[in-house]
Order: sequence, then C-alpha cells, then structure tokens
Amino acid sequence: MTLRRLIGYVLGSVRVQVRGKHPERLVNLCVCSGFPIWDIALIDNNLYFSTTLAKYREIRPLARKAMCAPRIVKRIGIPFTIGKVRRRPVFIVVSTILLIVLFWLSGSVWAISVKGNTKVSRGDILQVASDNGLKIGARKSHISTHSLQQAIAIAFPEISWVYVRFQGTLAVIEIVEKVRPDVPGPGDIVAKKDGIVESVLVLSGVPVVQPGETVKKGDLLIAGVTSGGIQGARGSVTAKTWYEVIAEEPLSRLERVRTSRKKEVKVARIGDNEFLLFPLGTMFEWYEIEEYPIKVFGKGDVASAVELFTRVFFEVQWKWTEVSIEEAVARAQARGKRAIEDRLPSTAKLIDFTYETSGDAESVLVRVVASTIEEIGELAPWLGDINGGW
Amino acid sequence: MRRKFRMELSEILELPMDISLDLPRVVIVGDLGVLISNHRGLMQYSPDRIVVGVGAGQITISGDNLEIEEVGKEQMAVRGIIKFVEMNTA
Repeated sequence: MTLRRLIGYVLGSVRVQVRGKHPERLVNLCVCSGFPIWDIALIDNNLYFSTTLAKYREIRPLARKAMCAPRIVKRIGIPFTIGKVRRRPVFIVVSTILLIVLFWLSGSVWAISVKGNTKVSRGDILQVASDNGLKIGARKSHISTHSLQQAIAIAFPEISWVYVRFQGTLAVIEIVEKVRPDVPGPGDIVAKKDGIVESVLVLSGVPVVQPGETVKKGDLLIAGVTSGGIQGARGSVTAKTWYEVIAEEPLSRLERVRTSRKKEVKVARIGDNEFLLFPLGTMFEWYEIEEYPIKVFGKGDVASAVELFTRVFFEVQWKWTEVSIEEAVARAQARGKRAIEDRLPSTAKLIDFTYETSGDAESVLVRVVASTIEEIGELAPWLGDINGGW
Repeated sequence: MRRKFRMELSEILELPMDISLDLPRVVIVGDLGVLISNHRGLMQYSPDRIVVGVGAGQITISGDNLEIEEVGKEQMAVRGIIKFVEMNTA
C-alpha cells in the first residue's frame, strides 16, 4: 500500500466512475486544480479513478465543465466504516458492554493449577489457597501472592518452596517438596561376614570385640547406647577375611587346528544385506572365517554405503592335545585369581593368595584362597519406636 | 536562438538539460511502467494507447492494460504492459 493509498484509507477515499465523451479533460482539469487522483483506468468506455472524499465535491463543477457525469461506485476508508457503525447504535452498545464484561472477567481467576506436588495432596493445597482468597471467581487484584505463598509454606512443612503466579485467568501454584536424605535410624554395628578383627574404631557406642578376635556373620561389633539418651553405634571395624575359589583344569583339551585348505569369496555389503559376488561351492564341515576389506571407492558416501571385502574360510580339524601339569596348574591358578578379583569389593585390600593343588590323571584341581582386609561392620537399625526418628 | 543560448549556458554551468530547457524526462521501467516528469497533461487515453502532452510535442505509450497509476502537476506514472514509447516533437 502506497502512502497515498494509506492516507486515502485513513481520510476516506472514493472510486469514481466518469461517463462522457472526453474524460481525459476531467483528468487534466483535476490535475491543474491540484486534486489528487490515482488509479486511473478505462473499462468499457468508462473512466474510473480514485480521489479523496474531501475533494470529490469540488470535482463535480469540473466534471460539468468537461461535460462528464461522475458517480461514486465505491467508498473506502475509516470515515465510511465509522459512518456505518454510527448508524447501528445497538451494535456499539452491545460491543462496548461485551468488551467491558470481557475485561472484567479477565481480572478474575477461572482455573487453578497445582504443579510439583507428590506427597501433599492437591485438595489440601487448594483448601489453604481458598482460605487465603485464591478460589475460582476471585478477583486477581484482591489476591496477594506473597502472603498466599507464605500461608502455603507455613501450612505444609513438607514444602520447601512455593510460588504463585497468574497466567491470564489461570492461577498456577508451583511447589517443590522437601527431599530428605536416606539416613538410617540408630542401631548396632554387626558383622556382615566372618573374619578376624584387625582394628576397631568407635565414634559412638560401646565396642564389643577387640582386635584379634574371630567373629562370624551377624555378631555384634559395636553396641549402641540406649540409657541416658538414645545414641546409635557409629564406627568402623576392619577384619581379615578370606575368599576361596576351586578351579579345575583338564590335562588334555580339544583344540582347533587349521589344515592347509581354504576358500575365498568376495562379498559386497550394502546396509545390512550381503551379496556373494562369486559362488562359494561346497563348504568345509568345520572352518574359521577371516575378512579382509577391499578399498575400491575411497572415502565418501558411496564408500560408507557399499563395503567390499574378501572372506576367507580356513578348514579346521579338532584334535586332542596333551597339557603338561605345570601348564594346567598355572592356568587353573590364573583362572581362580581372576574369579576372586572379580568378586572382591572395591574397599577390600588384598593381602596375598595361597594355592593348594591336587588332582588325578585327567585334571588338576587348584584351591585359590585370597586374604583381604576390609570393613565388615554394617549398621543394624533398632526396630520399634526408636527407629526412624530424626 | 534562445534555446541554443540555454543549451550553451547549461553546458557551461553543468546544469541538467531537462531542467534548464524545460524538457520532459521519461523513465521506462522494463515493460512494466513509464514515469514521465514535466508533462503538460493527458491528451488521449485508452487501455492500449496513452498520449501525454509535453513541452514541445507529445509522448505516445502503446501497450496492453494501460492504467495511470498516479497523475500530478509534474509527474505521471503509467503501468501496464509497455510495448512502445514514442516521442513526437512539433
């Protein structure tokens, strides 16, 4: 929209149809008189142009001079719209009333949303909010979000943070509940496995065992104090413990041995699908596979999409081979050590391994024992009313 | 004589010829429109032919769907499918 058209829209403009023998004369007369006219078009021997509403009346004498008959065919702009509206007073009144009612209604709360609650029920929160003025239909201007936040925080000790805000006609109560750390209640410290006590460190409570004593799983190590104020046992008890594994290793084993026979085939892999580029023929009964990539495409999308490689099938035969006792023992010891190391807790400190070997004509048996020093105390909370208070 | 003097004067003073000699200036925008400055009025108008008076003759614009977008005392803007623009001097 050009500036002229915009001004014409604001001030009001008319589309004029001119009939006559020489409508060009009227255009020239308008131009000479300084009347703004635009969008001149000749349609079906009728000249059409646009001009401002104010100038149209002054054009009429000029039209008579040019022996033309002007006629308004279209009225455009705000003054005409206002004129139309002014002729409908009921429309104005109803629109105004509707706007006022809409504005008034937008100042009320029409929905309440509670977010973030898991332990505290929504109903309880809404009840407290209602007691403090926040309910459906309440005026937003009459609600103090600050005092409402305080009231909700005081009413529910489980809530650590609360925030009330308005989103249009929706009141949103956002809360964050307290998350308490998982602290066990007071109790005694007992042994979680067998061992010989190495050290006892008591932070609270009464030690029941001394270094050098043998304890079994479940034995009391440090007792909590109940007289003169409840005080659970706290401390650390380390002990020497053992882990045992028996590993068996046969003195003969079945091994695959490659023969001199092999077969090669070229394979193309496109995505998850594989295509053999040449037929494979009869395959060996037992074989091992090795693959060697073939570089054809270099780098790029094609190379990543299509993969070429040589697949070699080596024929194998199964053969029993003798294993020396030393080798079998070494293998069994290594396997036993690995099994123990996998079982060891990260806090355990490994001292040494001991091995006992036995066996027969077919296999050797190795008993691997690992000595460790580790924390064996664990808290056994007291049951009853004492438990869980914090 | 007077015209020649004006031409020489405008050359000496490096003034634009169209201002010093009161000549029309015609700007053709592709085949979309023609802008004529310093015109003397609309002489003939039809959708395929517009004749505009200028100081020393007339300018004829031929084409299709020709419309006068704007017209003022100094300038006239014609739009449509422009095929031919001709200057006739008296």
